[in-house]
Amino acid sequence: MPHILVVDDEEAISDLIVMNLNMVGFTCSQAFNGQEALEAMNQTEIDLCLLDVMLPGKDGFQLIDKFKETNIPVIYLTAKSSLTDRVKGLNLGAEDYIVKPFETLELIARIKVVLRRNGKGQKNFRLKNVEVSLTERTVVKNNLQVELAAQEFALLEVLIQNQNLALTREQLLEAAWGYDYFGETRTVDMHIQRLRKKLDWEDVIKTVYKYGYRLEAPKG
Amino acid sequence: MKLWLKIFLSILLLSLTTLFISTSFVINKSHISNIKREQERSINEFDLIKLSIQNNVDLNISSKNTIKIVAARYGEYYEEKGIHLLLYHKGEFVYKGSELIKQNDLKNFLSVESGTKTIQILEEGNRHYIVLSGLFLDNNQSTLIYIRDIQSIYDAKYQSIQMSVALAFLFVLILGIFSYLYAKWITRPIDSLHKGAIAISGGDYSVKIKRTSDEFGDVVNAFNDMAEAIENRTEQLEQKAKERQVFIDDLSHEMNTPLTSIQGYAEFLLSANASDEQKQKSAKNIYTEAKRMKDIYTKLMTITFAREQSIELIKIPLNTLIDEITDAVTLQLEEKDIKLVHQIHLPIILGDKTLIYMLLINLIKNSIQAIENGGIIEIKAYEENKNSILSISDNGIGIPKDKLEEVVKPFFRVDKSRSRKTGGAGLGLSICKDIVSLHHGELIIESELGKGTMVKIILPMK
Repeated sequence: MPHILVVDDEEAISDLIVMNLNMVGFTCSQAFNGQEALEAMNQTEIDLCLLDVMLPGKDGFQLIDKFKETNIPVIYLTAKSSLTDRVKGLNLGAEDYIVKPFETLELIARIKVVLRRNGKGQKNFRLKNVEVSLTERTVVKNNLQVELAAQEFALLEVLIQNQNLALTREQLLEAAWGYDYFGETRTVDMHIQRLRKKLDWEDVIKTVYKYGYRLEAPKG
Repeated sequence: MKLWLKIFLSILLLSLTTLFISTSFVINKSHISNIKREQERSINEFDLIKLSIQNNVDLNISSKNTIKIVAARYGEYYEEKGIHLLLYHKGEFVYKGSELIKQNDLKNFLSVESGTKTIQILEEGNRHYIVLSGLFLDNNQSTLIYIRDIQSIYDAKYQSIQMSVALAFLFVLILGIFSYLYAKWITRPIDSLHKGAIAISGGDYSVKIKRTSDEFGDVVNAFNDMAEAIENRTEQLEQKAKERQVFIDDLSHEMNTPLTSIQGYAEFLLSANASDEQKQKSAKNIYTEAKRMKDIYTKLMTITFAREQSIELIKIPLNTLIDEITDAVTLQLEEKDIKLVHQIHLPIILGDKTLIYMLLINLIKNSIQAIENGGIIEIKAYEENKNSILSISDNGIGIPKDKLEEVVKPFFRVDKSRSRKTGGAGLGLSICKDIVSLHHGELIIESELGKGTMVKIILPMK
C-alpha cells in the first residue's frame, strides 16, 4: 500500500490527515519542518508527499525541487489561496494544490488521482472472497464473474476509495454519479442493497446511523 | 468676479476717472483764464477807442453828421481788425457796425450807467462774442458798444476736449493691456495655489509652491506646511491601516486554523471506523482548539473593553496581589519544578486591579513556558526616578535579539509549533503592552537566547 509523507507544522492537522489516510489504506510518515521532511525522504520509500507551503524554515516552495529530484509527486496544502500562489505552486512542479480548509474526501480523491497518474494507483481490492479490478472494472466473487451495472460499479469504486470512512448519501451520489444526476438519494439506498446482495457484503458495507454508508476493510 | 478682473477694472476705472477729472479741471481753468484775458483786452481796447473818439469829436457840441463821419471812420477801421462798434447818440444809432445784437439785449447795453461798463458774452449763430458798452465821458447821451468775436477761445476749448478724449482712448487701450498683464501677474500665486490644492486632493503631496516675498508668501508657506502635514497624516493613516489589516489577517488565520481542526476531527468522529484511542484523540483535539479560540476571544474582548474606558487608578496592595498570582500558578510551577521568588519593595501600585493581574499573570505564564524544567522566576517591585517598577525575569529559553521588537505584536510567536501545542495564541505580550499603555507606562523587554528574559514595567506613581 502506498506510503505518504505528511509535512505540516501544525500537529493537530497533521494527525488528522494521517488518521484519515490510514483509514483508507495508506501508511504515513509525519514531518513538522523542512529538515525533518528531508530526513524522512532519505529514510523511507515515499510514494507521495503532502506539503504545507507555510513551513517554518525552508519555504514549502523551495522543498519541491528536492522532491522532484527523487521523483516523488507532491501535493501542496496551504491556507494561502491567492491565485498567484496557486499558479506558482503548480508551475514549480506540484502535481496538485489544495487550499485549507479542505474536505477530507476531496483530499483522498486527489491523492488517488496523483498516485494513479504516477503509476502507483490502486489496481485491485480484495476482501472476503471478492476481488475487484479497478483498472478493468470487473468483479470476481469466488472466481466467478459478477455482473455489475455501470452505476453499481461506480458506487462500489467510491466506497472502496474511501474505505473505512462513512459517506453521506449526497456525497455518494455526487462522487459516484456526478452533479448531473437528478435522482433521489433513495437510489443510493437501492444500489447499496444490490451491491450487498451481489457481493455477499452485508457485513462489509455498513450503515452508519444517521450518517450514511461505510465500507469496512482491515486498516493499514 | 475674479480677483485679477477686479484689480484690472479698479486700476482702469480709477485712472480713467482721475484722468477725466483732472483734464476737465485743467481745460476749464484754461478756458476761464482765456476768457479773462479777452475781457481785459477788450476793456483796454474799449477804453482806448472811447478816449480816442472823445478826443476827436466833442459829442456835446458836434452835429450828428460830424459824429457819424467820425464814428464811421473808426468803425471801418476797427471792422478790419474784427471789432464791431456801435454808437448810440441822443436816442438813435449813429453808427451800427453789426446787426448781431438782438432787441432785448440792446436794452441792457444801452441802460449802462455813468462810470460803469457792461460786459457780456453773447452767443449768436453758433459763435461767441464779447460785448461791452459804456457811456462817453461827461455825456449821458452817447453810448459806445464794442463787439468782438471770441469764438477762437471756444474752439480751442473744444479742440482740447476732443484731443483729451482721443488721448483717453489711447490711454485706456495701453493702460488696459498693462493693467491686465499686471493683474494677471499679481494673482499668479493664486493659480499656483489652485494647482497645488488640486494636486494634493489628487493624492500628490510632493507639490511645493515657490515663495514670493509678499502677503502671498505667508499663504504659500502655510500651504506648503499644510501639504507636508497632510502627507505625514496620510502616511500615518496608511501605516495604521496596514497594521490593522495585518492584525485582521492574523486574527482570521488564528480563528480559521482551530476551526479547521475542530471541523476535521468532528467529521472524523462522525464518519470514520475509528478505534477508541483515535476517538479519544479526536475529542481531545476538539476540546483544546475550542478552548484556545475561547481564550483568544476573551483576551481580545478584555482589551477592547478596557481601551474604550479610561481606567480607574486605585491603590492595589502589591503583596496581596502577588500572593494571589502565586496561588494561581502553583500547580504549573510544581509540574515543571520552577522556583518563584519575590522581592517586593513597594507597598502599593496604582492601577486597575483586573488589568494589572492579567498583566502579571501573562508574564509569569510566559516565563513558565520559557523554562523547560527546574528554573527560577523572579518578581521584583521597587521605586526608581519617581516611578513604580515591576520586573519579571526568568532563566528560560530567551528571545532572539532580532525578534524582540516583533514579540509584542499580536499573534506573533517565536516558535509556532511549540506554542500551538501549549495552546498559546501569541496575544499575551501584545495585551501586556496595551495594558501598560493604558496605565501610561512603559514596557521593556530584555532577553538573551539560552540565558533568560526580563520584562520591566515602568508605571508613573501619580
